[in-house]
Amino acid sequence: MPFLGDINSEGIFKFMLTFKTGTFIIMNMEEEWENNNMAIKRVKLDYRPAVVKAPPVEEIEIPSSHMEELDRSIRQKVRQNEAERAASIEAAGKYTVR
Amino acid sequence: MTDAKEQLSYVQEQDTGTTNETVVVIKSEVELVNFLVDILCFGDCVDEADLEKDNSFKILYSLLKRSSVVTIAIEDKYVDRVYRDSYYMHFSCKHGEYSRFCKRLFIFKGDVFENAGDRAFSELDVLKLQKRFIGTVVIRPLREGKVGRSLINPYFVLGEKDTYLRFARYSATIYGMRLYVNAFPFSMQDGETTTCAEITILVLMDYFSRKYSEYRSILPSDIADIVGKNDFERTLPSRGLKYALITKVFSEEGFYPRLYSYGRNAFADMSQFKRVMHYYIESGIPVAVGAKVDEKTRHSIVCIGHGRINYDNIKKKIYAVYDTDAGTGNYIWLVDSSDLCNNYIVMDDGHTPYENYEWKSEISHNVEKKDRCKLENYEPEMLMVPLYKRMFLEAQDAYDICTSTLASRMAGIQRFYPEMGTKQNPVVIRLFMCSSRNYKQRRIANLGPENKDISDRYKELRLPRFIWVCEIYDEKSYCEGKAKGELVIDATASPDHGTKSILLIHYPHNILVCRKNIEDVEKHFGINEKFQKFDKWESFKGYDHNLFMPKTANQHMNSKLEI
Repeated sequence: MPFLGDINSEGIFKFMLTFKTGTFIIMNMEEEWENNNMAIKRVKLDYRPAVVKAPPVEEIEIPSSHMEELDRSIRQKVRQNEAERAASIEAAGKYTVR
Repeated sequence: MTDAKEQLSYVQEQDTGTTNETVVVIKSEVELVNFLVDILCFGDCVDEADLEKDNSFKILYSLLKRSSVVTIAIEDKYVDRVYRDSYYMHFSCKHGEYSRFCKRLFIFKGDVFENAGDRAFSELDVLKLQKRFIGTVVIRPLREGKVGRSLINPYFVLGEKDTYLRFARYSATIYGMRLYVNAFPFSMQDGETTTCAEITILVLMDYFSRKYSEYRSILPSDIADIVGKNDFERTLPSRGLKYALITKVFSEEGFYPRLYSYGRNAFADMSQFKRVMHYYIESGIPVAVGAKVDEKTRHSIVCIGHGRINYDNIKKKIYAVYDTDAGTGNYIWLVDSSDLCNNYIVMDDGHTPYENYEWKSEISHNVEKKDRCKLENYEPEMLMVPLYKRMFLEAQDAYDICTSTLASRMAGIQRFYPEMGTKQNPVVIRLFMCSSRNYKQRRIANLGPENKDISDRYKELRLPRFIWVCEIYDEKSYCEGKAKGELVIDATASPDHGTKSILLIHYPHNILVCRKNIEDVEKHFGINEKFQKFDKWESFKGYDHNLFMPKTANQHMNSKLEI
């Protein structure tokens, strides 16, 4: 018998505890667990929301297509800032203060 | 310096037989001049012309003359860590005999012995001393740059009117009495181990290390080490530093600094440069400014706050902003609050601490020449902003995201509040960065009872550590300090994210909390995002926790928790 332990699908495990003069003793640990440990008694706690919000009088949607268009123009503006960034680093390399 | 020479220096100091601490009450200008001649070691043969030429004298004289009566306690044999570091790094290696010790002056307003009977200084009530405490000044045993690390309460120099600046809380002890001062550190350059470049780094790091536990205070030898590893020449005697090297020192100390320059390929005009500088100052971040003194000389100063806001200029600085880059599409009329401020509070190592410098624009009528701008007598050309490592989104990008959104047809202010953004009633914007914890606390405290429903939305906001805020005002509400709305942008966002970096849009009666922008980063903005409208709404107090007005020493004691 090359493998002496076994873990079944429910997570109940049995394994070899001792090895004595060629005799294999296998104990069922599940039974011992049930005898020695009580399960935690679960009670329902009164969880409450920290913030209670009143509903708005109206909801106004923003069209996604419009925002995509806006994003494109922001990206164009931000790209112009990139040129400034590169020029600043170059200038700082030559700018000595004393 | 050899051990023998160091020992000789120490023995000579011991042999002078002077008492370690003395106190003097100065009640007239003659007494003040005499005191400065003594403390700066001019000797008996000094005349007025010599004093007028000496910068250390001029700085101390202009500082102390602000009060008709001052009491000064002198701590002799003071070990100033910055000077001691310079001493062992450089002055001890010289043939001349330099002392290892400094003197430290404890300055008090008025006569501290008034109504004190025969009591000695050390027996005076520490709380009464605290009420009069102006600050400390270190006097270094050098020929040039005698004024070392100084901590002066800005209230003593500027008063409390129309001044908004940053400072940190320091303590100093004399005769076992601990006194506190809120100050921004100041020091003159000694010209050998420190020039304006090193002083810029030292005072900024001194402030940041005192204010935030993430940073450590550094010494001249630390700067020399970093510069030595990153430059191609010797570091001592110091001949100044390139601005890129100053940035490198800040990077090594855990900052993510950003450089801005005015010139070829950089900012198109000086007003943009000034705006960026103002946004960071309004964010409570002290910045280093590189400036042209004359054709051959460049100087570095530290800008720590701003002065008076010119409310009368609101209608004079109006401009249109489009939601597209091409200058077409939807637009609104704007006033940038940074254009309304022309005075900045500056720490300049060649002048008195907390100088109030004026920003002046000289418009060139020659098309080939650029407009010139001056910050008092300097022409600003370089800006170094020591940013925290999680402040990814920078000022210009935050500005573009905010103004484009404000001007847009579907998410802009005119869709929800058509009265604002017209030429007659332009939107006044105030852009700044702040910590989200302070922001939320201040907003919920200031939103007012009419904004209960809006306030509930603010309480549940999910925010990163730092955010960009663009407050929206109209002319009247700006003068009253009451905001009409705001945009909140994620400071950890990439500039390419555009509207995806928006966390909150708040217009009168309407609010949009952009939760999807955090939860669904890969999706476009606007999918299922809806503005919520509420009947009850009121304008709210603008954010006031980045810059502070100077306070008396007594007020500091009462508001420890505020700073």
